Amino acid sequence: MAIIVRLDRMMADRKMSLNELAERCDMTNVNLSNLKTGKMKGVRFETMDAICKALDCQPGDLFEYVKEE
Amino acid sequence: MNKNIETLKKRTKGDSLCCFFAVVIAFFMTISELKAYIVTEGNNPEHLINSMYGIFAFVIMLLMGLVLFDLHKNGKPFSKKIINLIRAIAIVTIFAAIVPDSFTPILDEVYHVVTKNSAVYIKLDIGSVLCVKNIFISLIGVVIGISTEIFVYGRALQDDVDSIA
Repeated sequence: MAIIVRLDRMMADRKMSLNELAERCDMTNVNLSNLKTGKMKGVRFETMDAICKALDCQPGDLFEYVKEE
Repeated sequence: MNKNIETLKKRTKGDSLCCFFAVVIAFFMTISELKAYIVTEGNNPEHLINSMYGIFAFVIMLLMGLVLFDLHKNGKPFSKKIINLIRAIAIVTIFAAIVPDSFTPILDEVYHVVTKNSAVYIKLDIGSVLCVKNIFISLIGVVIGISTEIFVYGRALQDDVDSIA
């Protein structure tokens, strides 16, 4: 897909582990891991809100659009 | 969402226990009807018909109990296992409408041949097989079978929801 999840980059910038973020966002590790690896089809606004709050970032920081050739 | 699943799990625990209780009742009903048939030396085939209905009630309630138990375990009604179990209930219900009245004369004659050594004379009454009651029961089975299509669509939606973080 042309939308790439940059969650791993944001987590590395904030030096936050997957477990810690999952705990802060009230999500399961499996769900967050699937989101990080781009296996999910979509994200709820409330999930995005929790992630942005935990990582102190904007939704645009979490996603990137790469044009497919 | 999680709260709804927890509520569903709690609710279906009691329901599945009720179903397994009904399975036990159906089992004893079948046994008592068979016993009554043997005690009357096969003179009342009504007991044999009732015992066959008892067997079908046993199987249907067992399948329903498995559906509810799976629901209690996973908290999600739209799974392949539940769809297959409900389809099985539909098929068993259709058979429950046809089998008791059509097979009882055969079993009755077999019983008489074994116990009394009388000649085999099977009289299959199509009128009693295709009576309003049996047609109604088989239509209920058809309706249950068709309703599984709702579960098939529900499963597709469930897969979609599960892939949203």
